[in-house]
Amino acid sequence: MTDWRYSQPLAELRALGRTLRTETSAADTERLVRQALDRVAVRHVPRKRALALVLASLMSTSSVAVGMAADEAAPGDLLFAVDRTLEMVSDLWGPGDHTLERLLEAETLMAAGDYRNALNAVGQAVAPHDSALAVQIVTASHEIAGSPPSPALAQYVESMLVGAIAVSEAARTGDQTALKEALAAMHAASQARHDDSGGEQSQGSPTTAVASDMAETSAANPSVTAPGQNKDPAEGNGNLGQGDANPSVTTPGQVEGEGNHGSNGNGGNGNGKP
Amino acid sequence: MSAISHEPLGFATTSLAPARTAWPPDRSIVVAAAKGDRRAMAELLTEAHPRVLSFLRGMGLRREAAEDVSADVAEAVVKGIFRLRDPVAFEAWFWSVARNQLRSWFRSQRRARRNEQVMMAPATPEDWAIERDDHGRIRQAMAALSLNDRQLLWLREVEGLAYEELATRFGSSAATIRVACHRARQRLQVAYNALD
Repeated sequence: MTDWRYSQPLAELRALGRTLRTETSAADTERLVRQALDRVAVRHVPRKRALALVLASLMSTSSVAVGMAADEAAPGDLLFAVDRTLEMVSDLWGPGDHTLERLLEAETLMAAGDYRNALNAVGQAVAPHDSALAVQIVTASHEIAGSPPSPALAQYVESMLVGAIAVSEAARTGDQTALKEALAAMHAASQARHDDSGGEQSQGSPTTAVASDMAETSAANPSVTAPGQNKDPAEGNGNLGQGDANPSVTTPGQVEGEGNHGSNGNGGNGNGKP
Repeated sequence: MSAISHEPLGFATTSLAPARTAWPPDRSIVVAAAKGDRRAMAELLTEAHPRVLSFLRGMGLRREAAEDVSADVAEAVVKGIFRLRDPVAFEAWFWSVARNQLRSWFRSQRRARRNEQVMMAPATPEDWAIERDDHGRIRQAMAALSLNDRQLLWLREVEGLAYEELATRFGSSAATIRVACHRARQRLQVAYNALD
């Protein structure tokens, strides 16, 4: 059995190790240590973590960018659905007032000649203040779908937009008198157009479409009454006939059957028989 | 956190201020270095550098190549020490890092179609003279062994690692390493005697 402790080659090997170790100068060692520490300090964040950070920041930045871009979107734009979705999500934490945004959209659409969507946006804008009027306006927007633009149509949409702006301003300042007057004016304009159109509303399909359009508004605003809720004009409008000053409880069903007697809040006969 | 703090080392430019620590380093030094203490890491590397440089030279690398590889080893240690779970196992881990860097270097040399033995040959007549006078015989005997034998002999005989430590880093049992070391010693003896 070899006793390796006394092996000549192993003894020389150990001596070689000691010699080589002493060959290293302190200056060389210090230089290498500094280099190693400095090189690593520059990129001290592990690569995976750095990549995750970059991805997360990219995603958050792009999400914010899309959200901001969507905020400016008007109906018909690619990002409009994103805009409305964000509004709905934000409403989960408390209903927000999107009137001003709807009015801006309406102005944009109006300028672009898209009267249908402009009118729809006006309807959405007045929904928090007068749901029945909103339903009328949105119904009207469905009715004018496909019809060629005309000066009369442009004038009507513009008058509704101006009225909605007045409503918004009155609501913002808390001037109830001005609010009622503005809403009454819009009711009158809406009714005038309804009368001019010769009962196109009685076809029923626009109202059905409006029902789905207004569903989200109804969910967010309990004061909104769903269209068609009261189909029989002879039976179900008693509160209107009693001079109810709050026009927000009127419905298209009532409008269909009794004209403007109940909806303008002026204490009409209320019996459904004009 | 693996980050190395950016605070200055604090030692004077003319001398290496960190006190020379024992080898293997104290557990507290390893823990502090793993937590990003720049001074502790400097102490570790200061102590490790001469050892790893002599190891690389003992494996047959020229001085320039050995310095390059030792720099890579130092960088790998700084980058990877936070992954070391058991500070007590630092030495074995450190030598496995050095062996991996050496293996990578040999691989890169092979890719460059350069012969390992050529790399081990002294570069200049002056080097020839130094090696002939300075442990020239054991150098030649070591050069006749495989890289694995050389590593085993160096880490066991020069660095004094236990068979168990070698086993964990060579991926074998302690008994296998013991036998492998015995055979490597025999082969070194044969190669050494053959130079007579």
